[in-house]
Amino acid sequence: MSKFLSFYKKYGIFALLVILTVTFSLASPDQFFTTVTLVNIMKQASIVGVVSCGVTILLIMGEIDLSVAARMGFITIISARMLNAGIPVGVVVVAAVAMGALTGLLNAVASQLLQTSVFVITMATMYMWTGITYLINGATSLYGFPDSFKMISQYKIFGAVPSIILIFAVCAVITSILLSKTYMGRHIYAIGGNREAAYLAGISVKSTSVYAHLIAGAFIGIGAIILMSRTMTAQASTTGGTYAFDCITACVLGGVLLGGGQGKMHQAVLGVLVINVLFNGMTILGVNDYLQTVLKGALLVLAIALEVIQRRAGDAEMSRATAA
Amino acid sequence: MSENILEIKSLRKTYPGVVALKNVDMSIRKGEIHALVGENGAGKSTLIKSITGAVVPNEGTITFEGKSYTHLTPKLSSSIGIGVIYQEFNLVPALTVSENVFLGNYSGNGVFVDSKDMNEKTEEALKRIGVELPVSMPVWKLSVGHQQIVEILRSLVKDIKFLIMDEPTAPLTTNEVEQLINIVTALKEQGITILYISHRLEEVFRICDRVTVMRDGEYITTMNVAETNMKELISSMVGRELTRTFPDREKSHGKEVLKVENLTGNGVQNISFTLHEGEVLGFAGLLGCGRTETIQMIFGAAKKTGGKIYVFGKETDVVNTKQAMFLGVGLIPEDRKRQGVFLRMTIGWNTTLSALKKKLLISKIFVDKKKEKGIVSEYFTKLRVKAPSAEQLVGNLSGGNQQKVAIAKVLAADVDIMIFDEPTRGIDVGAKQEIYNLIHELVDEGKSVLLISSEMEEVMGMSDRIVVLYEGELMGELQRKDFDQERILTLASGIQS
Repeated sequence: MSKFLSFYKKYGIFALLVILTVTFSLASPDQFFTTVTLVNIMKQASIVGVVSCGVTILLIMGEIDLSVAARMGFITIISARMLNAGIPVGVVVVAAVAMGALTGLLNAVASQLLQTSVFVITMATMYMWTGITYLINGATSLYGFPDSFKMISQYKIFGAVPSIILIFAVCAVITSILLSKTYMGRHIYAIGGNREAAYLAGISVKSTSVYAHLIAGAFIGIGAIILMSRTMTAQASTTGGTYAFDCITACVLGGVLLGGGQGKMHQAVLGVLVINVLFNGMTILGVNDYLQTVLKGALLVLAIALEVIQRRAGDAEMSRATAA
Repeated sequence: MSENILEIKSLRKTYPGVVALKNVDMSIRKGEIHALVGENGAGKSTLIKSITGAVVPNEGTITFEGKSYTHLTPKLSSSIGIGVIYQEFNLVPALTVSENVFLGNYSGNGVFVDSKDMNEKTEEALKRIGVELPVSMPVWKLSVGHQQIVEILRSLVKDIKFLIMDEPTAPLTTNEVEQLINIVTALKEQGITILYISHRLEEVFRICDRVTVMRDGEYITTMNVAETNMKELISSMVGRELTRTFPDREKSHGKEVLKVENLTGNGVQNISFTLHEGEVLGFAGLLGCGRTETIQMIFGAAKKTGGKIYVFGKETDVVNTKQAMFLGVGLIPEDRKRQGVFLRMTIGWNTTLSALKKKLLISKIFVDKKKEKGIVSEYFTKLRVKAPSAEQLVGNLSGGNQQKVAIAKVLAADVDIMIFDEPTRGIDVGAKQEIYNLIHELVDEGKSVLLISSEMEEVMGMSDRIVVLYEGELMGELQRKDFDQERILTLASGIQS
């Protein structure tokens, strides 16, 4: 059992990705294993992927943000209106990133002032941003953005790689560097691992948390922009989408610890890819949509179960060592 | 009066590496108030937990009203008439007094609760101890003293015959203490036997009939309170010669590095002391006397409401731990596993955590991993951490080595004033000696140390000076040549000599 666990911990998610890809390719070689489909899966994965960068940072810090989808919806509507009012694309992009960061700041400040968890605060702000978005826009879709806006996600680099995939890659690399090479990354792991011990080690827990929320929010802003640029529409219904949970599911599936303190960016990326391969593959094979949703839930339960088993095994090992 | 309600025979309890109770024999007479005293770690808590069934002893029997038990459970102990008031209350704040009194035991018909019946029975019980309390008020609105009364009522309505009170006066104000003493006396008049655990020896002399002394997990003696005095009691609590050898060292103290004037807040008042370069200043006192609370304010982990702190001659309000470490003050906290180290991280990661911003940055953002490696191996060697490599998870180390990592974490951040809060708690004898040697090496290098310790031997063996605290106040300061166990324990019990 423990051999399986240590293998799973190291390579499990990567193995799963390979197995899924091979399985679907064999099951449907002419539909699944084609450049168009694979590129499409990557393009789809990019949006959740970019947002997952921020979600990973917060999860490692021990915080769960439920307001992700609501804020994305809000940002898309505001950005769409700005575009339609003729404001230059560059300004809109910067504004979207800023809105993401500032809404994140709000969550961080509120949770610190009220001394409550980000989970609870974002439950409230999720409703607020959803309501505000519908108040501003109603349920109508916005479209008719300039062509240059489309190019943000759909420009083909060297005539082949869509820019949206590059954006995802750049965001993931930046996050990975932040987490593994900077002092702030260390502090984020420390806070997620043990908040009290982190404070007693001289870490400024409050300001680190504020910066983390600003950065995570910026990724939400980028996510909102590439979502709009890919679909060339903006809808208030994005607020009720499943982005928040999809990101958390992907991260946890990849091996980011739900309780904080452990996890790596590449794990989150693999988690995002696994989910996208799995659901695209199933769609191509004609698996019922509702059944897919059931499977998504089951997958999350499985990931959490494996995490708990790993942790128990680790704790047992630790207490044996400490007693000796 | 001579019939025993409770008899304990050769009770023994061991934990991995520690003997908590060594063949304890004692008996308690029916109807008396029996005090149980001893220093921190004497085994009092384990003993009462064995009686209430919270702990299962390895050997020995407990005889209650003539019936012998080798192992009690909380349920069994409560059903034969044993009640306990712990230091921490087990109340549900939102429920009323009577609902708490009958918690888990509601009167009613199985569906609806009969509040009237419960209120009446609670009033009755209140009358028995001569106290008035609004029975339908939610418990969170009550003072600590009144909440304690709710705990007492809970035992009372179960018709208990024997009540254990663990430091009942510790959280109370002076007036509340008076009320509690009246209640205890009233309980005795109604034939309830009481085992009274207290650090406050005056109370023992005021209300108790007999007193049992424990030390290092052993039963020492039982005396009639009327036939003994404070001095005799304290000397039997101390009783031992200092056996362990503490390293001797040359002492020449440098300039003043820390000065605290009338520090107030976080549960302590008017604490003043100084610390010099190369000095170990010990903090002695019983549990809850305010030692940890004092250093929390110096380290920025709690806010002070009054007084002044001077670090290296400069007055400063230490607003947070980051500032404290920047000023050169570091803490090795009391609870190693929860506060001191990160168990799921490696030794190296732990070592440099506090030092990152101070000396390991490239262009203010990135961690200099090459330099980090050097620092990790420097402290890994210096502190003689026993592990295959610094890549080992701290959770897989022994307690002593975990503590070394906690020390390395503070040292690597280049602090000059090191606060050790119970540095050797829960680690074995050999590792203790190593920690002592380390502390000495550090002061020899010019670091200054504040040492909180509940072990008399340790604080006396290690310190150059000792300050003694009692109930949040500084009782006195002793120079090394004047160190004396009885003197310290007298001060720690709140008695000015």
